[in-house]
Amino acid sequence: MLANINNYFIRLSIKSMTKEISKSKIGLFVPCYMDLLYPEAALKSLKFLEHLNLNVSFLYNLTCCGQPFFNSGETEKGKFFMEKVLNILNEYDYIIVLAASCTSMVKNHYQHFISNINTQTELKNKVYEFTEFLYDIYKIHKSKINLVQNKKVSILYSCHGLRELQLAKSSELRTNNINKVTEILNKIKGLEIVEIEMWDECCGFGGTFSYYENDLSIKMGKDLLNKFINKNINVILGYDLSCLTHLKTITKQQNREIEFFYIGEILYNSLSFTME
Amino acid sequence: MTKFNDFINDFPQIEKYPYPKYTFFSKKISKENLIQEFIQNWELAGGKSLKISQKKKLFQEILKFGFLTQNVSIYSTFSLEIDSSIKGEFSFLKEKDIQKPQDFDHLDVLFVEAKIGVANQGALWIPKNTLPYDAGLFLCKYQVILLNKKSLYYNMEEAITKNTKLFKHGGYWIAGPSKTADIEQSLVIGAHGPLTSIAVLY
Amino acid sequence: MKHQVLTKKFLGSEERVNWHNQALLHVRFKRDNTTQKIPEWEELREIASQIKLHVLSNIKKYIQQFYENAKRNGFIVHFAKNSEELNSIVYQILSQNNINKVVKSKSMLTEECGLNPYLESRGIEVIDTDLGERIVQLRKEHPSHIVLPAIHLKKEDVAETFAQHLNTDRNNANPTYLTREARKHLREKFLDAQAGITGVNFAIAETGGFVVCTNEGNADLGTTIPNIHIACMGVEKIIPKLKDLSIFLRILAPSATGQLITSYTTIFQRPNPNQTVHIVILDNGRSRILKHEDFRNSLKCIRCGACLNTCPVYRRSGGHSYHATIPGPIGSILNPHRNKTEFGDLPFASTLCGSCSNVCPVKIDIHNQLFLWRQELKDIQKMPKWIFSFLKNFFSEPKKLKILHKIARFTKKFMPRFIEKKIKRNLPEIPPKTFRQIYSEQYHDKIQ
Repeated sequence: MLANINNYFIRLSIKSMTKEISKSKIGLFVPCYMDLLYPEAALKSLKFLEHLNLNVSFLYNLTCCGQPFFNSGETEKGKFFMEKVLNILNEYDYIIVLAASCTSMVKNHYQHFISNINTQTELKNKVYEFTEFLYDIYKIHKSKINLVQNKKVSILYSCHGLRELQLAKSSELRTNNINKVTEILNKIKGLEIVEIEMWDECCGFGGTFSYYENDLSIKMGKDLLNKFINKNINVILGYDLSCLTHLKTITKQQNREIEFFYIGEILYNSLSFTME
Repeated sequence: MTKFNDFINDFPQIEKYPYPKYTFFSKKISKENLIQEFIQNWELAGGKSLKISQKKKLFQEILKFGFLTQNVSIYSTFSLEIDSSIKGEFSFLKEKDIQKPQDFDHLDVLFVEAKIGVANQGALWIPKNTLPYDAGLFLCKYQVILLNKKSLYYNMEEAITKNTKLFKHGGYWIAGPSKTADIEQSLVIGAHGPLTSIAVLY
Repeated sequence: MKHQVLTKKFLGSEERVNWHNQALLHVRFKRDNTTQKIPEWEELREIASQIKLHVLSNIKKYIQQFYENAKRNGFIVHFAKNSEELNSIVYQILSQNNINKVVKSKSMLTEECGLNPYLESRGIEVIDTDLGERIVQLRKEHPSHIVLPAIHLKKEDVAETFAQHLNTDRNNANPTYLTREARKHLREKFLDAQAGITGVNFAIAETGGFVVCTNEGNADLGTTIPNIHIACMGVEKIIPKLKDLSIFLRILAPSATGQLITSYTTIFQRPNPNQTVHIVILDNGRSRILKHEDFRNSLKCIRCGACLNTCPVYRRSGGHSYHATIPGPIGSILNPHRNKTEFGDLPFASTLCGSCSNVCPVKIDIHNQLFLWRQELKDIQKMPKWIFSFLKNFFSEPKKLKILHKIARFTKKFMPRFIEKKIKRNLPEIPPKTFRQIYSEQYHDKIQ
């Protein structure tokens, strides 16, 4: 009886929260490479958010977060893109970014170039990576959403999302065990998630690192790919398509057919069996 | 040669970060568990251990290890009681035999007392100048360290805070025998210092 | 880009790279096993970080306090602004005492200053007594790791070196055998030494004492036998109180080797009877780093090496690829202060994965500092300038991005194999329409 009352209040608070979130004005930031290489994934992610009754607008004029420039020390060029992001900040309650490394650049690294504390706080409070938003704000893991997909998958935990956005607890730390990614994916009935050895080791992409140290980048990618192969994984999911692309470009050499999916795609595809 | 004032002037004064308040004192642990944890950690580090009921039983218990023979040279920082039932002449180095640190080079067995111990790290504290030359602590092959179990603390914070006098002249935290893993990460017990270290609690 | 060139060479033998990678991972896992058993681990890190920051923000006061108390203890304290001065001070002490045989325990600081070659060129024999250091010394190599100097060597390499210099059996690569032989060899050196040089792990301001940690006992043999002890330290080694050792001694060994504490942790408070103890306190750019708010945190370093063990780049490229005294992540943020041109490649030798920051026992935000260093090194990296101008231009607005898309499709269609061969990867598919195009078609009413 008490459990039922408890559940009722939880659902009530989620309903009211979701009502509140449906009123929020949300901007969708699509990373540069997703616009060029993965339009399907971006579209499906947008549709998934719309399915959740969220008021999402695509930020048509935001093309890039500036990361390739900042990471190469081209600070002034990076700032050009940063200004564009800062200019639209006060028009939205939340900004959802479809990549963790871009999110971290905006949320954690722009602050080195901004002296205004209010702006820094605004960035931290408004900008969310896709998975982060679903967990922290929408609380999808506590919702009653119906998701089904029969697949055996594994996850590529890209470093910026893992360590800078704390989407999961990396193995170096002795803090509470939390994994926002699997908590969300566990809502998908029929999805089997396989964990690999050393699941939190860097894939070796590192953006411009893959140019400067291509051989090492490929070696690191190969090592990680082999860990997936060792567990007979054919489907790899991730929240950062840049890292997934890096692995994709070296998979053929390993003579394996592996599919790579963005998490937004998988969530959307899990909807197609049941329409609420 | 730079003078102090010249040296220090190069350093900036930056915004202040306060000294943090901390303490890890509170862990409640029974004496038995304390000793258990010490022994576990001491042995994990490659040390050997022994519990004796009375200090005077030390020599005969150490005999059981097999390295204490009539051929070895022994030095003790405290008077060792050897039970009359034990046969044989043992060659003890006397303080007058040690004129310089190098005189300890051929020392085989050292008996020394530790003042305090720390259980959560398996370490024993021996103040400086417990020997006429501390080199003896490191030149010996077999190190036997005696500790009264009443002087065992859970952690170093407690041990230090409650015994500041023991640290006044410096000393050694010893946590097992000397060792190295510098050759292809293979652990070798016994590097340049003692090959074997036995902690004896009474 | 020196690191890149040296790494490419290292990668030449995949078997060796895998072996080196596993060796370092092994140490990282030992660290994990031990820290898992310390429930207050994260608290300890936070306190250690705060203590270090506190000292750095009051460095003048703490240098003074340490100096006065050290003097009171009977230590002779010297100040060196730079490495040349340190070397000169050490040499003066030795030559004034007619010393030409010295034993030295591990000190990254003396490596930083190039003390060994300085003394050797003036006729002083310096024997590195840490086993790993002795091995690389005999091989005339630099250490490749700050805690495990010989981690890049296989036991057969050591057997070969010992056969050459110590007359051991070339065919016996058993580590115990080799260690016992080294023991005999170094025992002679300890007994004959006229002075012992050590580094300093911690210097205690409150008591004017200092601490040296080893597993082999070599620092202790080197300071209890000869009657001159010279301890070299950087100012950042100072900690406020004796009690603070209870924090630092609980995080150093677990981070470095996965042990709870090193076999020997020696606290020096007074010279031994008939002994003179000198302490040389070094600046050598530390005051400059302290003035730099972005990079100040790097001075918290306690030289545990955990960041090296976890770094996926270091593990697969080896310490020598960093062409500097201190390699790895911490080296990459310290070395560029010395010389931007020579070491400017190092902050780019990273994917900024952040694992280093997470293992650092004193919470240095290493990966952040690598990023900030890159902002200072625009002219160092060797990507052709036009590429960035090109990218900025074509990313600057949606219209240009559309053109870039067309260029990419064209390039992929007409010269795929040439590019794929050059970059050793297969190019991804470039879909016919961009997201913006599809969006415009499906949501045409939403576009401003």
